[in-house]
Amino acid sequence: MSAPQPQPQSQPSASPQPWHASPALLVAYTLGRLSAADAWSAEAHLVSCPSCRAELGRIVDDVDDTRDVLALARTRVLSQPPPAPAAQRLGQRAASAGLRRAIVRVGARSGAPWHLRWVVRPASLGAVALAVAAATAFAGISHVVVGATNSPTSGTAWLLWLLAPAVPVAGVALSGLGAGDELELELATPSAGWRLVLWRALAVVVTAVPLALLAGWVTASLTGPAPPGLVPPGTSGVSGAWLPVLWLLPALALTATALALGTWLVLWQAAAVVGVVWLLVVGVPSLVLRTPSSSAVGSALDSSATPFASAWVVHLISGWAQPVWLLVLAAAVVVVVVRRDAFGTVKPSLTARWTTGGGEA
Amino acid sequence: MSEQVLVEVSDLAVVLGRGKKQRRAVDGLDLRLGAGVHGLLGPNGAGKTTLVRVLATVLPPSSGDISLLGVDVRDVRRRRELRRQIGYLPQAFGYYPRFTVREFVEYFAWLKEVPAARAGVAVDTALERVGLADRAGDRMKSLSGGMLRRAGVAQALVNDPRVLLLDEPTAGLDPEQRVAFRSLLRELALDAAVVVSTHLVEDVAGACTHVVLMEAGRVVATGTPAGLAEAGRRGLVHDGDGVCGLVGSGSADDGLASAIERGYTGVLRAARVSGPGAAPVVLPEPAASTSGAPTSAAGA
Amino acid sequence: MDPAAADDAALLRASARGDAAAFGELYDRLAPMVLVRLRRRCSDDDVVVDVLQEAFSSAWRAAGTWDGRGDVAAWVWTIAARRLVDAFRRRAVREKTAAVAHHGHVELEHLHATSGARAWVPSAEEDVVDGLLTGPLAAAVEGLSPELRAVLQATVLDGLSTREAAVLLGVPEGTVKTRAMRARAQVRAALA
Repeated sequence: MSAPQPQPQSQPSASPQPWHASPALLVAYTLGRLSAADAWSAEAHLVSCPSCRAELGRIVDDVDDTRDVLALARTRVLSQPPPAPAAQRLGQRAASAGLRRAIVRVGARSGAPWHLRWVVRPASLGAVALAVAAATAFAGISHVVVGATNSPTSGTAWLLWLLAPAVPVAGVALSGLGAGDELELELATPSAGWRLVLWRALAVVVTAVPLALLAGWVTASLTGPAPPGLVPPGTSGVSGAWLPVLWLLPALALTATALALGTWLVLWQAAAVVGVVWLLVVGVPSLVLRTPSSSAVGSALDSSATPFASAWVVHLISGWAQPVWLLVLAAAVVVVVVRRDAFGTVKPSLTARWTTGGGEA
Repeated sequence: MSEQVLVEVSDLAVVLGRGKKQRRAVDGLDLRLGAGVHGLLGPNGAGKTTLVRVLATVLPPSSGDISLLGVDVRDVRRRRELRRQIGYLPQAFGYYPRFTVREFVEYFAWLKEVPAARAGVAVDTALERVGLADRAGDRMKSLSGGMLRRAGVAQALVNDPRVLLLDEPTAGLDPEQRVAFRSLLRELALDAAVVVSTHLVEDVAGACTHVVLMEAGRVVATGTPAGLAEAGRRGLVHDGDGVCGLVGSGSADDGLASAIERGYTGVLRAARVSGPGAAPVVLPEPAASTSGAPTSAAGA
Repeated sequence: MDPAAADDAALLRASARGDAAAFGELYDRLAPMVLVRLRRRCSDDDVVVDVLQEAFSSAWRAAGTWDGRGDVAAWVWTIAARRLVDAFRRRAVREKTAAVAHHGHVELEHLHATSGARAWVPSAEEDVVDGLLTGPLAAAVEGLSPELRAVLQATVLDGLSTREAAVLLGVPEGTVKTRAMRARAQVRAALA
């Protein structure tokens, strides 16, 4: 506790308070005997001056009933400590709680919105990471299992590379789906609408793209460098481990398309539609065209050095296709910008089911 | 405290679904609400939930005008500002099971753009008001149905809303909690329009300052709970032209709850008989009326 | 950490980690000010004690969310002022239920409504912080009617919103707004 400074200007304290309330003034204040202007001054001064507060404490302490009131409330307050946050109760989570507080503090200081973490649906980023990991594992295992007879050209690595652009879309779908009816609650808030949707999509993309690039790099190093004949058309400068870079535009374009479609449909449904369409376009040709050859003769697999299916879908992420993806991206962004207000409410035409249920709680 | 009209709805229609499933959930509804607890009553399918969702700005109206706090809900530019002053609890709501109760309410404080400097205390106050302060650290998934409901109410009032919309808020609460909850509602309603959809007569008798009866997507009667009870006791209901319905064997000796119950069924029956397009029923004002004129009245 | 040596901000941060000794010290430093200030705004000592207790409990629970700006004392007082408003809400409801109309804010009439000129006269704020109000500003504040001063006290000095001030003073929100405008105009005229 800092030293009391009842006398004005008797000692310049650390905080430059040029003036301190005299004890007489504070006594008059506690008794309610100050004029309005003086009481106003006293109150404004007291909140900013620790030493005058201390002096006030001493004055108040001399009055029996006030002392009792303060002691009573003190006991009650201190007998009910706030429940420790769940994160702190578990020892191993203390670090993350500390980190979170630090983030909140930095956010508050920089004027950024507090709790940046709220932007992200808690479930979606984990799901994105899981999807990327699963796809990588799938590609890796299938390479190891059939690797002897199946060169990377036959589709395992390509499969992953072609599925990768859909990963952010899946994340967007999950970010709208995870909590079900929570959407209803969130929609009634000022943050709802395109801002929140775009923030979340951005968070998903920012997480998914580096993860998918990393996964592609890992797969490429597992399966070895792509044979010279495998370099997609129009990408002479991009080969080997750098091939995954070609996902970037398709991934962004697909995500934007999902958002654009989401101005008509429920967002997670729109993302699901885009994702499924992409999977069909990429997956079906590579599977269907392979089946007859594998059922006919086993050796046909070995000879599928450049299977038609792979070769065909490869064009989707070829260098030639990149400008097309850019156009798709631009078009989708325009749709989102023009129709952004549709994110702010539910679509009446899609909600018949919702209201007929009545009294489900 | 304030006598101003906070919610104004005129000739509202809401069409849901499309194609064969299309239907008018709300049709030609007029309503003006001031500060107070407004009980929204009506059978299932009367359009209560749809009305609440439209008032919550979640569902856009198909036609008609709605202004909340003087702002047109369809004015996209002012939507954000308007939503800062709205609190909403739907019948069913999702939540992140791993959130703690405090995080859940904090999350909504953030969504509702409560200034960071005030948010901590606002969350705390909201949790205390619904009696969940001591469960603030519990995970959402560990809560019972009643506690979930209270957490939902806490998020609805964390921004100190001027328009508070609660769809079946007392569902799942035990009787003791209901009593506490009703006094909370009255407290909030001092300077806010609190709209409570409910089917519990005791909620109406215990908490509401006004009642709005709905049937087939429109308002069929407005007034006070005492007026509804009076209609039940007298056995008659009136519209602008005179007697329009017979409630049944009303009795002056009926208790408040049974009188309200009787008044409610009687008004609905009268409304069904007179059909759509009829003027709303005028509930009688009992002699010992509650102070303050009812601010809830249906436009003709 | 030695609670007696730490400053208010450090005590509050320690309290956020559940340090009861730190919060006890903070209570001892701030509670007298909060108590006296509350008493000047509400003559019902039972209410004052409840509000005091609620305010500090609330401050402790919310300690982790203090943003580090301004004085801790000012932050705690803001919480107490809002708590007082809540207490008035509860009482207003009780009185409505008991059908006792228009009673209860009589005690507010004798408020020594010290008002703040901060919001509209920059130099006035310096006067407040630096010392006693003197000269024309003091005269201007003294010259206000009790109703106008009460409104300025609630909105400017206590930092309440118009809506909260309306509950505290028991008058409609519109009245708070017009009174605040009149009070400002009067102060401005007196200073001119």
